[in-house]
Amino acid sequence: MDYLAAFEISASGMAVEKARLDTVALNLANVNTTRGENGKVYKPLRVISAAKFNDAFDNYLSLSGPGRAAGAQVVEIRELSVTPRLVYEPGHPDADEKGYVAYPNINPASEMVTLVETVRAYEANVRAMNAAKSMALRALEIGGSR
Amino acid sequence: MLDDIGGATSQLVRFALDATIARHRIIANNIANVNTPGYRAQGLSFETQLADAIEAAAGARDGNLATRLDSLKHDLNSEALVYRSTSEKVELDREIAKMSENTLRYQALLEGLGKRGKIVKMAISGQGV
Repeated sequence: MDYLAAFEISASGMAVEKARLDTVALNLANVNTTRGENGKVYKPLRVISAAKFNDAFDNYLSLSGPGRAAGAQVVEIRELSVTPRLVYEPGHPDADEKGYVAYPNINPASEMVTLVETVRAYEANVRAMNAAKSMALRALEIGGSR
Repeated sequence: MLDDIGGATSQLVRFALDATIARHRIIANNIANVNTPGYRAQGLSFETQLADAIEAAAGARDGNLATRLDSLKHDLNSEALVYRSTSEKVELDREIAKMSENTLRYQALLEGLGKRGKIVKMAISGQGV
């Protein structure tokens, strides 16, 4: 009876979607920032996720058995290689010698689409976890008089 | 314990319960990977395999039910019954539907196991429960 494996899988999916939500929030928060890390312009971030499988050490500890699928994981959070959006604002403190200010090239519409997809995926993981919970609770009723 | 009294029924129900939990794990994994690029959804073909095993044993073509069930159990544990979808996309609505069906199936099996227990209890006590 490996209920815990199902909980673990759904939890890993929720963690991935939460990381994705964090980066979307970060991107949207920085839509108009002119100074990013090291004084360079901020670049939008993307979560790269992959399916997760138990390795040898996990197999030893795991409840789910050898070589089995174990949910999803965040592989890395990568900067998108997009060119900054240049806006002509000569008076701006961060303007270059020609009077252009570099803003991050973030597309709010595409960020919002990612946001909605992420929330839906998160909800689906919660549903799966609740289903596992109700199955486990029903199993406790075996042989009980009702 | 119920095996001695329950015979094939409780054995089959317990086996089906294990398969249902395995299927839930696979569906949960599909949902967790809904945004993973290149991930292929998985499924579990259990019921048809079980029906085949029972039919073959009933027809007594070869071997008895116990040995067939043992080999099916081995297939379940070694993930030989897991199949992969051909498309590199997880259909979220389909997975949720499969999950609901699977949960219902699990509850139906538990209900069946409980009813069976009541019958045995009735037989032991010699009166209605």
